[in-house]
Amino acid sequence: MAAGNKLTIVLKSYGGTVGRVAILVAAALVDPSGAAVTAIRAALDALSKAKSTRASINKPLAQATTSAAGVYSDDQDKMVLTFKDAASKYHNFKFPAPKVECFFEEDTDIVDTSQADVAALIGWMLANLNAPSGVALTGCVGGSRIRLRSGKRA
Amino acid sequence: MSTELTVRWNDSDGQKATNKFHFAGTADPSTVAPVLVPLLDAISDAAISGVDAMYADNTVVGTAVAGPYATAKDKLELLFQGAGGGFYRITIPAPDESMFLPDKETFDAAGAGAASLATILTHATDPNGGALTYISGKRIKRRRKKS
Repeated sequence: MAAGNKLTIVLKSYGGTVGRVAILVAAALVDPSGAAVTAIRAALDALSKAKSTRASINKPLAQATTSAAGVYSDDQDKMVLTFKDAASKYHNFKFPAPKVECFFEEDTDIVDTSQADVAALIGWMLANLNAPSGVALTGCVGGSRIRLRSGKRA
Repeated sequence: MSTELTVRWNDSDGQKATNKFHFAGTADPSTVAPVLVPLLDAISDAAISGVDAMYADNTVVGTAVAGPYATAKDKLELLFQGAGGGFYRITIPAPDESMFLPDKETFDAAGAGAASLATILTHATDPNGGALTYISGKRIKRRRKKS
């Protein structure tokens, strides 16, 4: 795990060109609207003729689960779960290398959303996640298996 | 403030994939990961190599003004040394010309930019979380992208 976080500040010049300033900061610093980042943005404002349009902090956390071989253990095989949000928009979440014995109704590529592991994941997502717009997710409408062409990322 | 959480995967061939999740407010990966990672591990044969959180603030600070170096290609490059001896650079686009010595290339660390430099030194760290020491600063210009 990294010892700190990465603060990225986007600066936009008078002519519209954009540059980024990357600064490593302490691991405890996570609020891009807090006093520390506000002070850094003010310092950059004094040094630069550009304006700061965005500040973001990236906090990494390493994990070490184990991969396994399976029927769909390739990253191009995906289980797609489709969710609807409170604004009636749909959002797809594509999970790589889905476990075949857990998900699919016999002889189809349809996800069994009542299967215990799938249902647990769907329940957690509905309880904790929003759409990128900030609107709450309201339900999972279904899922399927897809396979991307070689070299194409979802 | 919202949080974008990125889960990074590696399959058994070493190929990579990512998933992005969005939370309202601040979501700390050290508290979310113990719950989310087992749920994801149960449905996939791929391995999870990391969970990264990104917190963003889109408030605009300052005003963009014209100047002799007011483009993203012109930069103020500040050189620091970390506690472990390594060297690190912070580059700032469109530098204000008043930040330089009369040669218009050397950063004037004791002049108008002194307070800003002090603020950066207060908060910036090296990759191991150690303090930085200022070494020097200069103006650079990035070449255009090669075709």
